[in-house]
Amino acid sequence: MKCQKCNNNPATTHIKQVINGVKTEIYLCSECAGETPDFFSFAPNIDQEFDSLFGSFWNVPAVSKTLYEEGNCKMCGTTRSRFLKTGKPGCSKCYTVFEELLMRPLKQIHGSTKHTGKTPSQLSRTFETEDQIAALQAKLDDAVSKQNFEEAAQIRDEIRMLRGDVK
Amino acid sequence: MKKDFSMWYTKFGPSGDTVLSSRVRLARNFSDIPFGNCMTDEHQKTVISRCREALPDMKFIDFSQMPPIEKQSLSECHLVSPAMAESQKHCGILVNNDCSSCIMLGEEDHIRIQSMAPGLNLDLCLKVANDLDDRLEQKADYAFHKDFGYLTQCPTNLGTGLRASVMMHLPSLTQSGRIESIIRSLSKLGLAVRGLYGEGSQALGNIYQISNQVTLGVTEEETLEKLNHLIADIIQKERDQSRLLYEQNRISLEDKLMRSFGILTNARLLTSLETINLISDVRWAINLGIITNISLETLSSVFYSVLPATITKNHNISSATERDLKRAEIVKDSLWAE
Repeated sequence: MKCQKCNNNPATTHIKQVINGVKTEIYLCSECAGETPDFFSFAPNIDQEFDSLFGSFWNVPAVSKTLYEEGNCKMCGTTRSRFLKTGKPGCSKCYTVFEELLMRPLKQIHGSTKHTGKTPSQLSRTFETEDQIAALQAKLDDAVSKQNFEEAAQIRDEIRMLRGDVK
Repeated sequence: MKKDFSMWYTKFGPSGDTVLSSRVRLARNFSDIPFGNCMTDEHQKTVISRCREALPDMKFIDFSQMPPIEKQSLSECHLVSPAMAESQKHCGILVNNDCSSCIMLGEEDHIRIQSMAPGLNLDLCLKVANDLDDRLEQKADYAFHKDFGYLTQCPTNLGTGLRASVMMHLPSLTQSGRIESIIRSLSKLGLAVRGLYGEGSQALGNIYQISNQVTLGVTEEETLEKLNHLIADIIQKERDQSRLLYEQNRISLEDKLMRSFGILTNARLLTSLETINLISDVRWAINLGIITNISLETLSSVFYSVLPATITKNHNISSATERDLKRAEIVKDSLWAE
């Protein structure tokens, strides 16, 4: 048997790698076995396999395909069909453009679609303000429906003040 | 580059008998630049210059100017990913003095902050990585989505962008066969286990890398807490199993490990695969108190100095035989010197 890396010398080393129970095997000559740069990640086909498996997440039923034909990302030019094939966005904007396509696979991969970790400090202040405004807006609607106009005016001023903060 | 990039690795850390090292990686992207798969060289230059400006105290190493063997050597020492070592793109790294922090610029994501520490010390790694992250975000807006968190090229990293991993040496759990069910259980609990298997079913060097998989819907602290609990449990299992095996098979285990020590310190030719397995036996013998005149620090430093690309780079080697000869010489000299 010939070495699977250089396809030249006879293979003398047999390496098996198991990641989460998935086995990959490779036969190498002594030169190539010695050169294997990182003995945790030598497997040559891992990325390809991942790409093809990952791509399958984005398969949509044929009937609904027309729904997804329109709307490409204007920032990086990624088309819907390319996104559906690879499952990989081309830029940050893609996550907004293809948001509805992402929800189901994200739920399957992570079991969640809502981030709960760290937030960049600048944005974290913006998000806090947005949340406060949303809460006040609900209170405002409530006050208006109860015809409590004095309270409503007060809340409206608070919202205006916060909006000023945002900008 | 004469610098020894593995130096932080050679130190002994918490639970260093079982845990070789800890690492935290944060994936980040700038909001105004397309991801790696859609990037131009100009974009790449902007990423690099922004990060260099944000972290002037770190040393920048340009990969486009570096010979392939040096890149492979950095990959062996786990400073950069194999993908980065093979990349033809304009990319580079920012490193601190002892190389325990290394930021990859131009890998799959614009920025991959990595912080490493000897032994089990994920909390320290996260703290260091977070500090670097805070400084980088001052420079330009990150790609961030209120629901999806930090945006990454691959949706599997979305959310925290955090990958926390520990490298463990588990000889007795491997020899007893218990490792198989441990790997299955960890996998059910959402952790990934990677090990490299040699001939037969024994893991090469009995080394396993255990890391989190989920990044969306959990906080950084929750991710680390879960890993820390499970790792602590595995450490205890390895120690107990090791003691049990030694009590039950004292002479045969001593014989096996001392034979490995004999080969390691007397062989004329050593391949890297053989060396990794022999070093694993000697490490086990040191932990059991069978070998007392060699420190784990020395053993780690020998381990990293004889990996294929590193030894080739440092000694201008041209053939596999020459490399195996040099490897045997270095191992012998370092271990007899103790």
